[in-house]
Amino acid sequence: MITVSNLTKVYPTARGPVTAVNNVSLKVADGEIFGILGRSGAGKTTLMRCLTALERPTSGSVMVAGHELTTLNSLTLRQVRHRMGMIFQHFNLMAGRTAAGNVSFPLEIQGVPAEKRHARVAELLEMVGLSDRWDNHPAQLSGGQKQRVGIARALAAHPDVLFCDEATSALDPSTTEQILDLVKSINEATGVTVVLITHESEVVRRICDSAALMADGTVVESGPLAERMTDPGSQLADILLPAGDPSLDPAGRSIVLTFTESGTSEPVISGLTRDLDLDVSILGGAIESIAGRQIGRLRVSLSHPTGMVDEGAVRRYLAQRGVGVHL
Amino acid sequence: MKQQKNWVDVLPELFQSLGQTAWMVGLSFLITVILGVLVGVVLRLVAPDGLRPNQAIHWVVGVVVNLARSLPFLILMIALLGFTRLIVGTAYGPTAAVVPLSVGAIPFYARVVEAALREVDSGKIEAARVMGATIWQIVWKVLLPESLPGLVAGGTLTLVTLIGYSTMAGAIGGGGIGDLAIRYGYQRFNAPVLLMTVTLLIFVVQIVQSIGDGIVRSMMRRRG
Repeated sequence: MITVSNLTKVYPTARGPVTAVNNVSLKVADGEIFGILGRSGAGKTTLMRCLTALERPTSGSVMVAGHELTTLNSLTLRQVRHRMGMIFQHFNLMAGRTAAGNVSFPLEIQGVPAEKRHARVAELLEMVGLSDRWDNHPAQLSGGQKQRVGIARALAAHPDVLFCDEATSALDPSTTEQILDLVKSINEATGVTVVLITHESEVVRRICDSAALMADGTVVESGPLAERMTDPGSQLADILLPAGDPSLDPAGRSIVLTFTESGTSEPVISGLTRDLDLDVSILGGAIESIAGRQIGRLRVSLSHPTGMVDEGAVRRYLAQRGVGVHL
Repeated sequence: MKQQKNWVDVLPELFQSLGQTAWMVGLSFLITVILGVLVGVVLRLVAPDGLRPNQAIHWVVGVVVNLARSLPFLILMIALLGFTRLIVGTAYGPTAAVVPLSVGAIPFYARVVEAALREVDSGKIEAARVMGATIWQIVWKVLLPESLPGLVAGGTLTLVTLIGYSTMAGAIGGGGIGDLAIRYGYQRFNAPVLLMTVTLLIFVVQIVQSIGDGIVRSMMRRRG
């Protein structure tokens, strides 16, 4: 659905040029939920502005649904945008329009006749659970309800891709969960591709199929979460599923083990003790369901009565049992 | 000493003056709103942070607006005598007064409009842009509706100012309440009639202001 190649965006500032996005390449597959995770200032907002052509990149290419955004004229760009939906951290609803009026907005822009708009608005408000809020203005709605209106508006014209710009960052934790679950269920029901940017790892953990980790304008790591999580050395995995701090082991010889469903049933830890005569102390770990798979990461410290740990043997032992290991 | 007219005898003239004032203020307000919104929108769009930044247009329109605003209304009116005669055919009477009134109020309202449009959250504009809205759809469906309370509040202010200006227009032959006040109050020292015109003006301005405030309040109640 989206292919970003060697994207760079440089802003001229009073104190010289600032590179907000530096040589970023990404691929977002059709129908997946793709998360771009990073702290503020990592460049994710600029990246998303390039994906929606609100910003023209300094160099590189952005392909969305088969269109090269960087070279489109304004007419074609508008047509491509008719196939995009977007929700925002601060909702950006029109204060002078009712909930229904806001949902109807993109349809009006595309010249959909009034009776068709009415039917579609009813359908969408029903989908986001706000049928009884038809005539309410945004000021009369809670944050979660406003974002539901935002979602209904973004989906009104059957977009191919839904962009979410820190869509839950202004919401409380339980509302955040409801909104994320709504996005997930819409993604499953309609097959719309979702690209979201967030600084909250919880968002990625809860609904994303794939993710990219951004820092200092570059993509540090990206890929399907199922694959990233089982790479014991993955930084993304360490953020989403922290296995504990390496400094917890005074000897500095801790290792990270990653388990998937296949590995979790076998008694691996007691196996290490029994079969390899090792002492195993657990320093930290977490087990979560991510991208539809049960994934666990565990930081352990190994020691042997002789003082020598045969790393090769450990690696082989764990690999045979489907457990990933990062020494 | 000539016998002064009783205020009751002046009533027919008062109603006629009121009608003249309503005509010149009403027509010039209509023209001001239409052209003021137009100029205000242009100023906002071509501003450096606008949707169609254009330094040259922004500078030229800005200078013209400031020029018109820096002239006191009385002087503007006199300076425009020739222009008024060209457009209306005469420089006297209520209809002729519409020309200087509009020319004086348009730049004022244009600045009000520009400021109100500037208050519209850029996020809403971006939301419309990502939906594929054209620039005119953004103006009609986002900028103007979203700044409507500010436009109405500024419009009320403009209308009150126009009522004030219209009395000055009366001073140089525009007719209306101002003309009445000058003829009876200033030239004939008829205090009761002067008092009556003053009361009437206060009353009219109060009504205009209350209606304007009421509209803004009801809009703000829904918008929060």
